[in-house]
Amino acid sequence: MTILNPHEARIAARHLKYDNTAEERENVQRVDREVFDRVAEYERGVVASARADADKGDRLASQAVTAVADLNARFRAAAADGDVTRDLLREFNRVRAQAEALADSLNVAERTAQWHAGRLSDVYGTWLALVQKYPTLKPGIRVQ
Amino acid sequence: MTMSSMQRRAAPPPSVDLPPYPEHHAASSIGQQMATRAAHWGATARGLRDEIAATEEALVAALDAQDRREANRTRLREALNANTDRGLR
Repeated sequence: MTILNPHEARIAARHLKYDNTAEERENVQRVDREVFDRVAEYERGVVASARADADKGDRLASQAVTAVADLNARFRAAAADGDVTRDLLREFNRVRAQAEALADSLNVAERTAQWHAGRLSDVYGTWLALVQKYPTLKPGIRVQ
Repeated sequence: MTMSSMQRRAAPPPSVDLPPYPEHHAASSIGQQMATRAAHWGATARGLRDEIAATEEALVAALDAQDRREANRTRLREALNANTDRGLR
Protein backbone atom coordinates (compact mmCIF):
# COMPACT_ATOMS: atom_id res chain seq x y z
CA MET A 1 0.00 0.00 0.00
CA THR A 2 1.36 3.41 -1.05
CA ILE A 3 0.14 6.68 0.46
CA LEU A 4 0.79 10.04 -1.17
CA ASN A 5 0.57 12.19 1.95
CA PRO A 6 3.74 11.47 3.97
CA HIS A 7 2.20 12.48 7.29
CA GLU A 8 -0.77 10.17 6.69
CA ALA A 9 1.65 7.43 5.67
CA ARG A 10 3.35 7.69 9.06
CA ILE A 11 0.00 7.48 10.84
CA ALA A 12 -1.14 4.57 8.63
CA ALA A 13 2.04 2.64 9.39
CA ARG A 14 1.14 2.85 13.09
CA HIS A 15 -2.43 1.67 12.51
CA LEU A 16 -1.57 -1.44 10.51
CA LYS A 17 -1.90 -4.91 11.97
CA TYR A 18 1.45 -6.64 12.51
CA ASP A 19 2.36 -10.19 13.39
CA ASN A 20 4.67 -9.01 16.16
CA THR A 21 6.03 -5.86 17.76
CA ALA A 22 9.46 -6.22 16.16
CA GLU A 23 7.89 -6.14 12.70
CA GLU A 24 5.77 -3.15 13.71
CA ARG A 25 8.73 -1.22 15.11
CA GLU A 26 10.83 -1.97 12.03
CA ASN A 27 8.13 -0.85 9.58
CA VAL A 28 7.19 2.27 11.54
CA GLN A 29 10.87 3.28 11.73
CA ARG A 30 11.36 2.60 8.02
CA VAL A 31 8.40 4.82 7.05
CA ASP A 32 9.53 7.59 9.45
CA ARG A 33 13.07 7.39 8.08
CA GLU A 34 11.84 7.55 4.49
CA VAL A 35 9.75 10.63 5.27
CA PHE A 36 12.53 12.29 7.30
CA ASP A 37 15.07 11.62 4.52
CA ARG A 38 12.84 13.49 2.11
CA VAL A 39 12.36 16.35 4.57
CA ALA A 40 16.14 16.48 5.10
CA GLU A 41 16.70 16.69 1.33
CA TYR A 42 14.24 19.58 1.16
CA GLU A 43 15.89 21.18 4.20
CA ARG A 44 19.33 21.05 2.52
CA GLY A 45 17.87 22.86 -0.48
CA VAL A 46 16.25 25.52 1.72
CA VAL A 47 19.48 26.06 3.68
CA ALA A 48 21.54 26.39 0.47
CA SER A 49 19.03 28.83 -0.99
CA ALA A 50 18.91 30.85 2.27
CA ARG A 51 22.73 31.03 2.39
CA ALA A 52 22.90 32.29 -1.20
CA ASP A 53 20.24 34.92 -0.50
CA ALA A 54 22.02 35.91 2.74
CA ASP A 55 25.21 36.62 0.77
CA LYS A 56 23.25 38.63 -1.78
CA GLY A 57 21.46 40.65 0.92
CA ASP A 58 24.73 41.30 2.78
CA ARG A 59 26.25 42.70 -0.42
CA LEU A 60 23.22 44.98 -0.89
CA ALA A 61 23.45 46.19 2.73
CA SER A 62 27.13 46.94 2.24
CA GLN A 63 26.33 48.90 -0.96
CA ALA A 64 23.70 50.84 1.00
CA VAL A 65 26.30 51.90 3.59
CA THR A 66 28.55 53.13 0.74
CA ALA A 67 25.60 54.95 -0.87
CA VAL A 68 24.79 56.78 2.39
CA ALA A 69 28.44 57.81 2.77
CA ASP A 70 28.46 59.00 -0.86
CA LEU A 71 25.29 61.07 -0.36
CA ASN A 72 26.86 62.66 2.69
CA ALA A 73 30.30 63.29 1.22
CA ARG A 74 29.25 64.71 -2.13
CA PHE A 75 25.80 66.23 -1.81
CA ARG A 76 25.20 67.08 1.84
CA ALA A 77 28.66 68.61 2.03
CA ALA A 78 28.05 70.72 -1.11
CA ALA A 79 24.68 71.83 0.31
CA ALA A 80 26.33 72.81 3.60
CA ASP A 81 28.97 74.81 1.69
CA GLY A 82 26.25 76.51 -0.38
CA ASP A 83 27.87 75.21 -3.52
CA VAL A 84 24.97 73.60 -5.41
CA THR A 85 25.48 73.67 -9.16
CA ARG A 86 23.31 72.39 -12.01
CA ASP A 87 25.83 69.62 -12.67
CA LEU A 88 25.68 68.57 -9.03
CA LEU A 89 21.85 68.40 -9.18
CA ARG A 90 21.99 66.28 -12.34
CA GLU A 91 24.45 63.96 -10.61
CA PHE A 92 22.21 63.83 -7.52
CA ASN A 93 19.24 62.74 -9.67
CA ARG A 94 21.33 59.92 -11.10
CA VAL A 95 22.62 58.81 -7.68
CA ARG A 96 19.16 59.10 -6.12
CA ALA A 97 17.66 56.77 -8.77
CA GLN A 98 20.38 54.22 -8.03
CA ALA A 99 19.93 54.56 -4.26
CA GLU A 100 16.15 54.13 -4.52
CA ALA A 101 16.63 51.00 -6.64
CA LEU A 102 19.07 49.73 -4.00
CA ALA A 103 16.53 50.38 -1.21
CA ASP A 104 13.89 48.48 -3.24
CA SER A 105 16.30 45.53 -3.67
CA LEU A 106 16.99 45.57 0.08
CA ASN A 107 13.25 45.35 0.78
CA VAL A 108 13.00 42.39 -1.59
CA ALA A 109 15.93 40.78 0.27
CA GLU A 110 14.15 41.54 3.58
CA ARG A 111 10.95 39.75 2.45
CA THR A 112 12.96 36.83 1.05
CA ALA A 113 14.84 36.47 4.34
CA GLN A 114 11.54 36.50 6.28
CA TRP A 115 10.24 33.78 3.96
CA HIS A 116 13.37 31.65 4.52
CA ALA A 117 13.14 32.20 8.29
CA GLY A 118 9.52 31.01 8.25
CA ARG A 119 10.37 27.91 6.23
CA LEU A 120 13.35 27.06 8.42
CA SER A 121 11.40 27.49 11.66
CA ASP A 122 9.17 24.55 10.66
CA VAL A 123 10.84 22.57 7.91
CA TYR A 124 8.61 19.51 8.37
CA GLY A 125 5.37 21.53 8.25
CA THR A 126 6.53 23.58 5.26
CA TRP A 127 7.58 20.46 3.38
CA LEU A 128 4.25 18.76 4.14
CA ALA A 129 2.34 21.80 2.87
CA LEU A 130 4.44 21.78 -0.29
CA VAL A 131 3.86 18.10 -0.94
CA GLN A 132 0.14 18.46 -0.28
CA LYS A 133 -0.04 21.38 -2.70
CA TYR A 134 2.00 19.63 -5.38
CA PRO A 135 1.54 15.88 -4.79
CA THR A 136 3.09 14.97 -8.11
CA LEU A 137 6.40 16.45 -6.96
CA LYS A 138 7.00 13.57 -4.58
CA PRO A 139 6.27 9.88 -5.01
CA GLY A 140 4.07 8.23 -2.38
CA ILE A 141 5.39 6.38 0.63
CA ARG A 142 5.08 2.59 0.66
CA VAL A 143 3.50 1.76 3.97
CA GLN A 144 3.51 -2.03 3.68
CA MET B 1 -31.53 13.01 16.94
CA THR B 2 -30.60 16.66 17.25
CA MET B 3 -27.59 18.22 15.58
CA SER B 4 -25.87 18.82 18.88
CA SER B 5 -26.29 15.20 20.02
CA MET B 6 -24.91 14.04 16.65
CA GLN B 7 -21.92 16.30 17.18
CA ARG B 8 -21.47 14.92 20.69
CA ARG B 9 -21.53 11.32 19.38
CA ALA B 10 -19.11 11.99 16.49
CA ALA B 11 -15.91 10.11 17.22
CA PRO B 12 -12.82 12.31 17.40
CA PRO B 13 -10.21 11.66 14.71
CA PRO B 14 -7.64 9.09 15.82
CA SER B 15 -4.67 10.86 17.25
CA VAL B 16 -1.25 9.32 17.02
CA ASP B 17 1.76 10.55 18.89
CA LEU B 18 4.28 10.92 16.07
CA PRO B 19 7.93 11.56 16.84
CA PRO B 20 8.87 15.01 15.53
CA TYR B 21 11.25 15.58 12.66
CA PRO B 22 14.72 15.78 14.22
CA GLU B 23 15.65 19.44 14.08
CA HIS B 24 19.04 20.18 12.57
CA HIS B 25 21.07 22.84 14.29
CA ALA B 26 22.37 24.36 11.03
CA ALA B 27 18.85 24.87 9.67
CA SER B 28 17.41 26.47 12.83
CA SER B 29 20.52 28.61 13.24
CA ILE B 30 20.29 29.88 9.66
CA GLY B 31 16.57 30.45 10.15
CA GLN B 32 17.31 32.72 13.11
CA GLN B 33 20.08 34.47 11.18
CA MET B 34 17.68 35.12 8.30
CA ALA B 35 15.13 36.66 10.69
CA THR B 36 17.84 38.92 12.12
CA ARG B 37 19.10 39.82 8.64
CA ALA B 38 15.56 40.60 7.46
CA ALA B 39 15.18 43.14 10.27
CA HIS B 40 18.64 44.60 9.57
CA TRP B 41 18.05 44.90 5.81
CA GLY B 42 14.65 46.49 6.36
CA ALA B 43 16.20 49.06 8.71
CA THR B 44 19.04 49.68 6.23
CA ALA B 45 16.54 50.30 3.40
CA ARG B 46 14.61 52.74 5.62
CA GLY B 47 17.87 54.47 6.59
CA LEU B 48 18.88 54.82 2.95
CA ARG B 49 15.48 56.27 1.99
CA ASP B 50 15.67 58.71 4.93
CA GLU B 51 19.15 59.75 3.80
CA ILE B 52 17.96 60.32 0.21
CA ALA B 53 15.09 62.50 1.50
CA ALA B 54 17.34 64.43 3.89
CA THR B 55 19.92 65.04 1.15
CA GLU B 56 17.23 66.28 -1.22
CA GLU B 57 15.92 68.58 1.51
CA ALA B 58 19.42 69.92 2.19
CA LEU B 59 19.98 70.58 -1.53
CA VAL B 60 16.63 72.38 -1.87
CA ALA B 61 17.39 74.48 1.23
CA ALA B 62 20.84 75.31 -0.16
CA LEU B 63 19.33 76.27 -3.53
CA ASP B 64 16.79 78.51 -1.79
CA ALA B 65 19.59 80.18 0.15
CA GLN B 66 21.61 80.61 -3.04
CA ASP B 67 18.54 82.13 -4.77
CA ARG B 68 18.03 84.53 -1.86
CA ARG B 69 21.69 85.57 -1.96
CA GLU B 70 21.46 86.08 -5.72
CA ALA B 71 18.26 88.13 -5.34
CA ASN B 72 19.95 90.27 -2.66
CA ARG B 73 22.94 90.81 -4.93
CA THR B 74 20.62 91.82 -7.78
CA ARG B 75 18.73 94.28 -5.54
CA LEU B 76 22.01 95.74 -4.27
CA ARG B 77 23.35 96.06 -7.81
CA GLU B 78 20.12 97.76 -8.91
CA ALA B 79 20.26 100.13 -5.92
CA LEU B 80 23.89 100.96 -6.66
CA ASN B 81 23.08 101.59 -10.30
CA ALA B 82 20.16 103.84 -9.30
CA ASN B 83 22.42 105.85 -6.97
CA THR B 84 25.05 106.14 -9.64
CA ASP B 85 22.41 107.34 -12.13
CA ARG B 86 21.13 109.99 -9.66
CA GLY B 87 24.72 111.09 -8.95
CA LEU B 88 25.41 111.50 -12.65
CA ARG B 89 22.28 113.64 -13.15
